[in-house]
Amino acid sequence: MIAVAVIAVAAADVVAAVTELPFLGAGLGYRAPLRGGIFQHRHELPVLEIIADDYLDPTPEQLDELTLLAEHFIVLPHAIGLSLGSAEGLDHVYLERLANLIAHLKPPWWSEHISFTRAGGIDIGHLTPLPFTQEAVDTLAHNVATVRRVIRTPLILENSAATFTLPGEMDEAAFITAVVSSTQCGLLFDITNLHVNACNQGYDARAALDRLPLEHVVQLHFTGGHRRIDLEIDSHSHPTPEPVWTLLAEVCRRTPVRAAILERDQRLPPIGELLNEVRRAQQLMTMSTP
Amino acid sequence: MSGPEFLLFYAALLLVTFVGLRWFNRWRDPRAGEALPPVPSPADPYELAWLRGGATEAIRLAVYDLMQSGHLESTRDASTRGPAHLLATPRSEPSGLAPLARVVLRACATPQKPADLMRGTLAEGVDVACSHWRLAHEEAGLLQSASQRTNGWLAVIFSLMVLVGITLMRIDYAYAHGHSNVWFLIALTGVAVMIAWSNRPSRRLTVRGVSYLQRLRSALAPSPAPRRITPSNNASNNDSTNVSDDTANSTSAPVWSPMTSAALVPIALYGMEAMAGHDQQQMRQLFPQAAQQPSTGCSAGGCGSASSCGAVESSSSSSSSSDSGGGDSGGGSGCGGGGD
Repeated sequence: MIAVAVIAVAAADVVAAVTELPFLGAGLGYRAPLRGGIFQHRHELPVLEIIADDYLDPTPEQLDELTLLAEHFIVLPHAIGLSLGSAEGLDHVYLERLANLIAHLKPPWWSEHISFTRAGGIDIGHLTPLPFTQEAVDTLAHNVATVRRVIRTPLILENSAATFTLPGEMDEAAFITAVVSSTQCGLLFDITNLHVNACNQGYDARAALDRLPLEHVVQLHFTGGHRRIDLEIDSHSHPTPEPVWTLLAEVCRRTPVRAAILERDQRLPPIGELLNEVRRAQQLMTMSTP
Repeated sequence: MSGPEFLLFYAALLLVTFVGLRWFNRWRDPRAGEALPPVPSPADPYELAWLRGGATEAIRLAVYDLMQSGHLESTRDASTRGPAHLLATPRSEPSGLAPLARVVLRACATPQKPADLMRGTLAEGVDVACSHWRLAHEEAGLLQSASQRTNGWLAVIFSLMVLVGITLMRIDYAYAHGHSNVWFLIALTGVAVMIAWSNRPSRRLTVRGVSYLQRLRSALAPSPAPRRITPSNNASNNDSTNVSDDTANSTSAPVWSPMTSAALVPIALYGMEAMAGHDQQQMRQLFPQAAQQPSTGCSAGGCGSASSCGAVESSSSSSSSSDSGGGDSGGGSGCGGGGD
């Protein structure tokens, strides 16, 4: 009973912290080949997200690029390799470099995944889902606490896409809720990941929304993947499919989202196509803003 | 003062002149260290071309734009091997045409030699019509104002007069006393003249302006890699700048739109260097004077268009300085109004 009360108080704190974060609108995941188009349409892109790992040990050219971006956009760093789910703890060199990057960019928040990329000192090179257990929640909370001692900027956590699930004690919705409560982090809710997981694991994504802590959502990710045989692949390679748009609209209807980022990594289309998707997301966010 | 003593004195004077001119140039450009203005969005390629090289570059961009969209064609009489002429094609003037492109198109209602476009009333009209850009860029400390250029020239002329004057006096003194070994002094004076001349205010852009142009390139077109404008009826699919253009191809009638203006930006910032092979070859034939010079923009001599445009650019630049406080183009409707 006491534990439930503690989680409830912690959740209330998270919600309070989330509501203090600024509203940024819809934007784009920055990819270097898009730079010219992004700057041409700067007036339509208030926010960009960069892959933090690409800039952890920046060359002088990359530093210039970061400075140029930071002077014209709000830039949100999105980390991939911190491996918050690693039981062995964090890579402190990586953490220090990440802290330097965030200090340089001064974003309103930054993000990492609810997953691990390193085990036994070996870098797996892939975002790997955690087992849905209390032990994994505790490990993640411990690592997040370590991160917070180094980086004061608010951290939000992203749900992962999973082509398989490890044996666990709870389902994904309960796990994410426990993670958010334990870490007191906001949620970067990847709508496409929910869609992919729902398709691959055979559950109803819309029904899953009812059990997810949407009031903690700070930011959304959306994009399109592709289908291989009977598996949805989160490849960030295609336009956002209609089911994802439907889910995105539903999330925006239920909670005030601060930012939504189109994550396109492969088969980059002309910037006009990406902007059409960003505009649509912006429209959904604006319509739902109280 | 003995000969060696005078030479030492003259070398010291040379050093002082060099340092003084450098200091003076910095003093003339007090905003060099300030933060640069933001990258414009959406960027007007004609304004970028004008910033890079004045009316000449803006007209050249308009010619390229109009030829790409099929509204202007180059004609050449094969029998005479004479210079090519530019002539508007007999199709209706597109409604979405950039104001400056419209002015060029109308000027080409009768056949025009490309070089004549750069030095005739068109260039002067464009320069006057772009005076609002000049005022804005001068205010932002990107372009040298008329007074800055005048002061720069006065400093150089004063330095030359002092250096050459002292040399002449010394030569006169030497010959009056029966000495004729003045060749080393003459050589030293030659060096002094070159140093003073190298500090002349030949650049359109200030140091800050050069930095800003580099920033524009870095943001809007990080690479001058040639690309071809692919006109399309679907504006949203047509902005293929720097990205794969697998979806941006169309063989339908070209339509000018703001999205094709985005595709012009690299050419506005780099010139012919950013044009695809065939287009570049065609433009080099039309504008051989510019083709002889690197079109890489701001290099040692300042903004490349200043050097690439040769005498034409010089005259246009001087006219721009002389009338910098002059007339407006009649509002913010771009370059077209005043030049029309």
